[in-house]
Amino acid sequence: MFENSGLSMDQAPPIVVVLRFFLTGSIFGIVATVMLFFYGESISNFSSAKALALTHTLTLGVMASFMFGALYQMLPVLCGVAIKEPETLALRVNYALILGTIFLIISFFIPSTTLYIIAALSLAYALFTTAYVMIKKLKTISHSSSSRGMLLSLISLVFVAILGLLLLSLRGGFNINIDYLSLKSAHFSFGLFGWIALLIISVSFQVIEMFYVTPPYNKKYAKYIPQIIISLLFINLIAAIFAPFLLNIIEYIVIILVALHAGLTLLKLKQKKRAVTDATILFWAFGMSSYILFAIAYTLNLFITIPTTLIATLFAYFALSIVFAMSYKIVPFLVWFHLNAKGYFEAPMMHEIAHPKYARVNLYFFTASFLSLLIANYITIFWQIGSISLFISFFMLFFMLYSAIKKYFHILNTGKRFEFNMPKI
Amino acid sequence: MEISQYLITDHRECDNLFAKAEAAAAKGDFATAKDEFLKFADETLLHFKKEEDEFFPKFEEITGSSEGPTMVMKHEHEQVRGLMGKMAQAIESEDKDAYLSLAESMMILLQQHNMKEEQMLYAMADRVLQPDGKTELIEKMKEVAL
Repeated sequence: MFENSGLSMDQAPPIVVVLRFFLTGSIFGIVATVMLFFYGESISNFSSAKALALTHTLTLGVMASFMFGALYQMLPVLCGVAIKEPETLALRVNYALILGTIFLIISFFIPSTTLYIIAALSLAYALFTTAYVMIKKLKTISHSSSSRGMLLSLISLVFVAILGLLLLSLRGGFNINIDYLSLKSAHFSFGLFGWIALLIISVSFQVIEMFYVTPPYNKKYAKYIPQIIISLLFINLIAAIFAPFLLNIIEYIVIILVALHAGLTLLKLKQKKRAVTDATILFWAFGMSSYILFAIAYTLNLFITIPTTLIATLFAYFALSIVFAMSYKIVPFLVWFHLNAKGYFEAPMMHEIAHPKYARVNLYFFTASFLSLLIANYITIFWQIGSISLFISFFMLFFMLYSAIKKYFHILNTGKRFEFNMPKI
Repeated sequence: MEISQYLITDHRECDNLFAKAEAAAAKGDFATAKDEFLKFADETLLHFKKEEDEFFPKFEEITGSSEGPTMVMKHEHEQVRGLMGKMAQAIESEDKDAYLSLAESMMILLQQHNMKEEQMLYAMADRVLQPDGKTELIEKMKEVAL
């Protein structure tokens, strides 16, 4: 009966599983800002090696790392499912993701079949293994809106990875009879909207109400919106072959649907019952606002020319804001939760891990980088100013994570604890 | 009435009381914060008692196990009680930063706990129990007092 209902005694994976991925993500974030500093406006050509390197550092290095860390943590809570031997699996996936991302980035600059193969194999292992393990678990449970959305987001990720591997094969000189541009367009659509946007929507169903005590999302809306988005993306894919004139229309509908969700989330945040407005709420509001601006810029671009880097920046900040929002909420809680559950008297309070003032300063640098990178489309020196601000933002995030890990192990090794017979945490 | 409907209403009521206490503490109004915190603590402890005295034994009877999910839930109740004690100390000493920090932990701890109960235990009880059994259990829970 427990298995059928998805109930599990194991509540949470070891904290190192989550923090390892988060730390990796923050380091890739720092690397991305260094790239941005030196590349500047030359990333405006999206097919250039520099733009591809930066995009994949952000998507694979940052987003995938944070997504995997968060999913290892959230699956047991959301669905009552635990992953067997999470430490071993997470370690392997983490190394494969790091290796694959680094080799992929290098391969954009130094085309080499060997590099493509190493990147493809490493990334395939990291993405497919995680997706397989998690999808298998998620398929066994009765779903909440959030877990259903996460399942669809993971399926999209698998699809993005398959398309990406096909693109790599084409770049590697393998002769596959598929149009490179159509493949690239599908890889792009599924990556941005099927994987990233759907993941953020699914997470919002769970955490907006839970962390900030807001009115819940409408149940039918929460149940169907992820399914509608992924269905539209698949229709778009078919349209690419049989009715190319529908392509932009379908993609535009998806963009508007996600924008409506962003608007709805802003409304929920405004209706929150908790009076305290901390930096994590502002990061959420920032992300949702950035997405709405992205949809507006995308729409305007149909009539007047808007720099593509400006549109891309708006989408990137939508995704990155949520990474910061989740990290500042989850990490201090996990450190307290694990030490407290193990019976340590000195388990630090959340503010001792990341004080709200520290998170707020991080938000200011993040906002400064956002504004600078938007201005950079018109005044080029702001590429460097924006990348320095974003570098500081990611470094602050990295430092918070590093300090949290250091504090956790210090108390674990030296702290006093009381023994009690309780379930293994 | 469904079991989930009855117990989830308790959860939301506790959330509302928690938010009121936190709002008052954030403003530095510790007299109101103390009153609201006591209401929150009473409501939460009563809800735990309903579960521990009536709901969990019934759930254990249904599943045939007293060492499964209910044991984890009881452990989390203990964690919440411990944290509640620390919050009471912070409110007594009017330590705003400590209270808000502990409140943050309490909120996440309670919400992830509620989520597990709502999505698993309550949902399972609703699926397995017959309507008469649900009504009887709810009536018993209504009679529980601190």
